This record gives sequence, structure tokens and C-alpha cells, in this order.
Amino acid sequence: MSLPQFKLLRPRSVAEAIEHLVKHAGSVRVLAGGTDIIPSMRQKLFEPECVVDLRAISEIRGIKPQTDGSVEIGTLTTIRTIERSDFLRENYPVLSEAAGTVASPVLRNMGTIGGNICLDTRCLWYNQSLTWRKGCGFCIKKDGDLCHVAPGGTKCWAAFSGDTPPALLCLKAEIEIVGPNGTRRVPLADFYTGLGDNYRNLQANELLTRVFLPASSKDYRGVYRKLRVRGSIDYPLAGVAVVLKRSNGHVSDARIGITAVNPAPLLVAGAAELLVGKAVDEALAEAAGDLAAKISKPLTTSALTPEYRREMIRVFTKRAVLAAAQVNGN
Amino acid sequence: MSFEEAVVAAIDFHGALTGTGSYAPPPEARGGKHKGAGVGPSPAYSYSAQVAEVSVDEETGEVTVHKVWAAHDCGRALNPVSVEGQIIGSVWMGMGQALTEEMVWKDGMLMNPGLLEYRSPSSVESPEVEPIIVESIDPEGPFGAKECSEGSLAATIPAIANAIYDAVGIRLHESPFTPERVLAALRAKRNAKALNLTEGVDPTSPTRFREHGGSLWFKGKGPERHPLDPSRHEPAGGTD
Repeated sequence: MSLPQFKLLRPRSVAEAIEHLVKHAGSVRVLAGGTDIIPSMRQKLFEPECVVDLRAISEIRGIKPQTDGSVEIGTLTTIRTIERSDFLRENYPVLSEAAGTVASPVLRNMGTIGGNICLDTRCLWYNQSLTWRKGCGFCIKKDGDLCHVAPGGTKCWAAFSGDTPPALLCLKAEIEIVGPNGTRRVPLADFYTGLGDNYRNLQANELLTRVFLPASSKDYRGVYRKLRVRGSIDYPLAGVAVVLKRSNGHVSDARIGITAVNPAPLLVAGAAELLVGKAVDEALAEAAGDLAAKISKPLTTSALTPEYRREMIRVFTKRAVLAAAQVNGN
Repeated sequence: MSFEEAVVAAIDFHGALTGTGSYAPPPEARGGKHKGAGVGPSPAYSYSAQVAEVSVDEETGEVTVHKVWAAHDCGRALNPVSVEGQIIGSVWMGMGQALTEEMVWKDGMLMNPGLLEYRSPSSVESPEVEPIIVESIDPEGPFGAKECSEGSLAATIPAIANAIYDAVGIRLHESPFTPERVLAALRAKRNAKALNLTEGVDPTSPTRFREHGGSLWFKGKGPERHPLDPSRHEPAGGTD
């Protein structure tokens, strides 16, 4: 599998990058770390005329704590930097932990947080070579109108398989999107559409530039738990982030985020209502697990059976809630 | 004449020095007339015994291998370091077969054609391996040697299967022992609420071949096992 022909553009500023995106609209892709797009281009999932390589743009790289206590993370910051940042480890440990589980050290050195947020949804029938995909008929997500996962269906179910978004959702992250018509700032939760094919609210001429974590999320401590077959390299087959805020031995707020079992990373609605005002014990953690399992809809888009992955969301949520309570000094 | 001079002279006069030989197993070792009868005859057979230490997560069904002691009879160990390397490598390969590696077919398509989805164990999963070389001088082999690595590979799978049985009391009759199979058998054993974790397949007594187009991922579709296949009839939980 060789790379298709393309023209490589290397802008030095965000404005210049947007210019390129507008000029070559329709057949351009963005490259930040390249860990997702390069294999996909080899499989001919994308064959753009131009690739905009963002790596020379230093203004959107790095972790910058703000005076109001919040933090701004440039989307070009590598996963490794996030994993090893003392500031994040101290103030937003759940993000450091989630970053530390992404793929393998080699890929974490290359991959960026922006790339992890924008990670293409994955499916057994999609992430395959062109020859392979020709063999069984093209699917909704790429070139065709079939769905092999849900035969007869018209919705794409490819699973979102990023590790950091559930942690970012739990921390109420916001993202900055720059386009030709200016800058907008949206909550991360609104970035994902919940569809497998058109999975994010991002125009082709727009760029994800910064991630903001609010100061108020510093009181939330938690953990990230990930199901995978091997201890390295693998994408999550189910992932759960849990953060708790505590006062006087009771939970005063709680958030649970799940990934890899739906076409978007999701916050579990009702988690706060369930956990607030209570002391965490086994039974309560199990109830939280049931709640998370209820909104997970794994299908045969990844390895292991869907029913098993849903069950693991239940088990991992239970364990994560107990571990999060431990972290908070139960 | 020095050795170097002799080598130069030999190559000058004769070209590369080569030798040819052949071996045929004795007629009584060639099997019957049925298809496949000729597979396996060998001048010498290696023997292997292994002990595996594993832990099983009873909630997730994940199996972790901590240490493997692998004794292998390789005839004379011509290069002991190389033999140890072969044993360690075969344990690692056997661990992949036992726990993770599986070719998944669906309607003639191989669903995991890359090394990302066909999961060989990574360095993170690699257990400590203690290779034990058992030397026996085989009269048929070169300098008394036999083979190393195929024999020791075969022992890893039953060693891990038995270790799982020893740890949690479930007998799986279908490899790889992936977490969903282990969990399904564990839940059946403790009469937990039935969940269709393995797409209708009983991992302790599978009735269909996965190899022929079926997989747990796709409701275990595939041709039925032969009626005489013992794994069809053995009761769940094993007999020992």
C-alpha cells in the first residue's frame, strides 16, 4: 500500500493554513501528527490533492496555564507532552492518565491532542485497503451506500476510538475553531454529531486550534479505564473516564464519559444525579455501571463481541467509580 | 598449507563446497494410506513440558501470563544460547495462539488482515520465560541434535489452558482463550444471568469450526464440527 500522490503545503501560521484550506477547498486534508491520516491515505480512504502539514505552526503548540486558573492547550501539543506535563498531572490528572493509555510511546510522541479529538471513527469494514473494500462492496462511510455492520441500515455506526475525549468531556473542555469567517469557541460535547460518517461539526475550511480546560474542573479528580486486547498499540475497545468532586466524604458532583462503543464519545447523563450526596460503595458503583452500559451501543465495528464490550463498560465504570473515590480520599 | 590456503585452493578448483544427502523415514513410520498419513514422520521427535503461571480477572475474563517454565528436549544443544532464544520465542508465539491470535473470516473476507487487528502479543504482555534445555543425544540427528521451537511451541497452549482451569475451574475447548470466552464460561459456571457474550457459542463445548468462515464476532457461523469431535460432547467444566 503506497501513499497516493499529493502536494504538501507547510504553512507557518494559522492564518496561512486557513488560506490554504480555502484555496484548495474540496480536496485538502490536514496533517498534525500523521499517525491516523497516513495509514488511512495508504489505504486510499483519503486521496486529497493537497495535504496541509501544520507542524511548522508554533503558535498552537504547548500547554499554557492562564492567570484565571484555567489552561489553554494548543492542538499541536503531542500526547506525550500532555501525559508528562507536571501541571496537567497535578491539576487535571484524568487527562494525563487517558493520554498515557493512547497507543504506544512511539505513536504518542507523534500524535497530537487535536488529532486525538478529531480521530476518524473506526470500523472493521472501513479501515481496510482499497482492494479489500472492493471485495465486499463499498460502505456508507466511504464511496458506497451499504452498511455491513447493520445490514439494510442507512446510518453509519463506525466507533469513535479516541482515548482523551472522554476525559476532556468530563473536564468540560471547550475547543476553539478557526475558519475564514473568524473564530468560534464551542463546548467539546457539541463538536461530535453522533454519526459515524460525518462525525464532527467541522467545516472543511476550518481548523481546530486550541483546547481550554476551565479552572472549575480542577476540583474534579478521577481515573480513566480502557479495555484493549494488548497492553500497548491497540485502540480502546471500550473506555471509561470518571471524575468526582467531593466534600465532607460525600460526592458533590460527578461525571462519567465513555468512548469506543458509540460513534461519538459521550457523557453519561444522570451520573451526577445518581452519585451526588452519597458515599461511594460497591452497590452505588454498580448502579453507575448499569447507567453507562445503558447508553453504550457497541456493534461489530471492532474486535471482541459487542455484548462483551457493553458488559465491560459496566465493569470498567464500576471499577473507575471506586478508583475515583479512592483517588479523592474516600 | 594453512586452513585459509586450503579454503582458497578448494574454492579455486571446485567452486563452493557442497554436499547432498537425503532421509526417508522407515516404511513402518510412514503411516497408512489415508490422506495426511505422511505428515509427521521424522528422524527424531522432540519432547517438551511447560508450566505456566497465569492470573484471570473474574470480572473481565482477561488472562495474564506471569511466568512460563519451559523444558525442551532438543537432542544435543549445538548452540545453547540459540536454543534458549528459540524456546523463549516459541513460548511467546504459543501465547499468541492461546490468548489473542485469531483469523476472523466473514463471507470469505479476512476481517483482520493487518498486524493491528491480528493481535500478536506485544512486549508488554511478554512473560518471564525460564528456558530449560534437556539434552539427549539422538543417534539420527546431526551431532545428536533434534529440533527446537516447534515442540516447545505446542506445549504453551495446553499449559496456559490448564493454568486457567487451575485458577478459575473452567475448561475451554476453543482457542484463543479471549476474554469473552473466558468470561462466558465463568458466568456459566457461577450461574450468573445469561449474557450472550459469545454470540451463542458455548466456549466450553463449541459445535462449529471458526476456521471455516465463522467467528465469535459474527455469531459463530461456520460448518459444524464432526460428530465424533470430543469437544462436542464433553460436558461443560471438563472431566478432570
